[in-house]
Amino acid sequence: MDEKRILVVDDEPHIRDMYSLAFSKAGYGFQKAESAEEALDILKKERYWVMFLDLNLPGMNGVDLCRRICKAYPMTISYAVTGYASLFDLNECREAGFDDYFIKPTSLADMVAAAEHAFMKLERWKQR
Amino acid sequence: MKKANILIVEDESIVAQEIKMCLENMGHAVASMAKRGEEAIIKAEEDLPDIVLMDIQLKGQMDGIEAADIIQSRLGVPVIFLTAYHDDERLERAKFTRPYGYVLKPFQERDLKITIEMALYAAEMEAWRKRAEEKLREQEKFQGVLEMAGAVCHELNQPLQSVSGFSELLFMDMETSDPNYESVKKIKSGIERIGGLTRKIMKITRYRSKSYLNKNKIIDIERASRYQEGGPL
Repeated sequence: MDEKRILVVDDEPHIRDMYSLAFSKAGYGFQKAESAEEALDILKKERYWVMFLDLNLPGMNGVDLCRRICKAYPMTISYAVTGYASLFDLNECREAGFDDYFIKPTSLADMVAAAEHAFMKLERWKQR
Repeated sequence: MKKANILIVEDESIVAQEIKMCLENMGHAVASMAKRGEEAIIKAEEDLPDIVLMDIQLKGQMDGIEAADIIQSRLGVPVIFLTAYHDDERLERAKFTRPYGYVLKPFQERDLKITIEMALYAAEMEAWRKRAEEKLREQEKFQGVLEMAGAVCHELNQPLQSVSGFSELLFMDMETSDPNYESVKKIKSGIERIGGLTRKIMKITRYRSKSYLNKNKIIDIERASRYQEGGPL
């Protein structure tokens, strides 16, 4: 884990750009995908440890994507981000493997802090 | 036995008096008496009796079946026909007014007593059912409004996330001496307020929503507005 890289999946281009700016500014490497399918393709080529997944995606939704990722890569730390809190239940998200759950509109500072926290946790796990 | 307030509609005075005595013997009160159909409707409107005992053959233009139809449908007051006629044509017409009873003259006091008692109970149940239905409709309407509010918030949250994030980014880079600092600060705090509001609304609408047209769990504003304009769902 040389570079701290984050994968963000969101179908809104503005939001992807915004995350890209915020995470790059905070010093993280950044990759974006607009669908679950694209994210899975990216993961076949590169390994990401920290992810922010929008839940209401076209095609496969973020909850199922998280299930797939956690099954293949159990050490991944993933965060759910959604504007549709009543469609996706917190319990279901935790069961799918999400570490935390952000309801849009969420502050970028909170997301950057979550990423920071995730990398600290990974660092600790690495030292075991 | 429940004491009822009864309107007697009978064009023969002597018969009307007999019925009145009979009802009072049973413990009921006679609210008023009418001889014509038109008069019966006015008295029913004024007194709102618990039951109307309606003769079919009346003086004047309107017969008892017509009057009963208006009284039941407009005022919701239950009607029992009390008549000497039982020919098929009258029975057929009377049936459509959905009477609470049909007693033939000359009547036995016991028969009338039982019919009134049954009618009072049926009317009470009907009123209860109507109230329950009304309550359910109100609840459904309220739930619909809440879900609509929730759907609006859901739709707003997407663009709001991008506005809120970009304003946060702008603010991050800004020196307090920047001439736009105060303006951006105000924009940011305004967006935070909107975010707080949508979150509050979503909290009260966060329950399992019903399936709507096309089995959508939530109201899709884009699709609903297309449907409203006559397009497909």
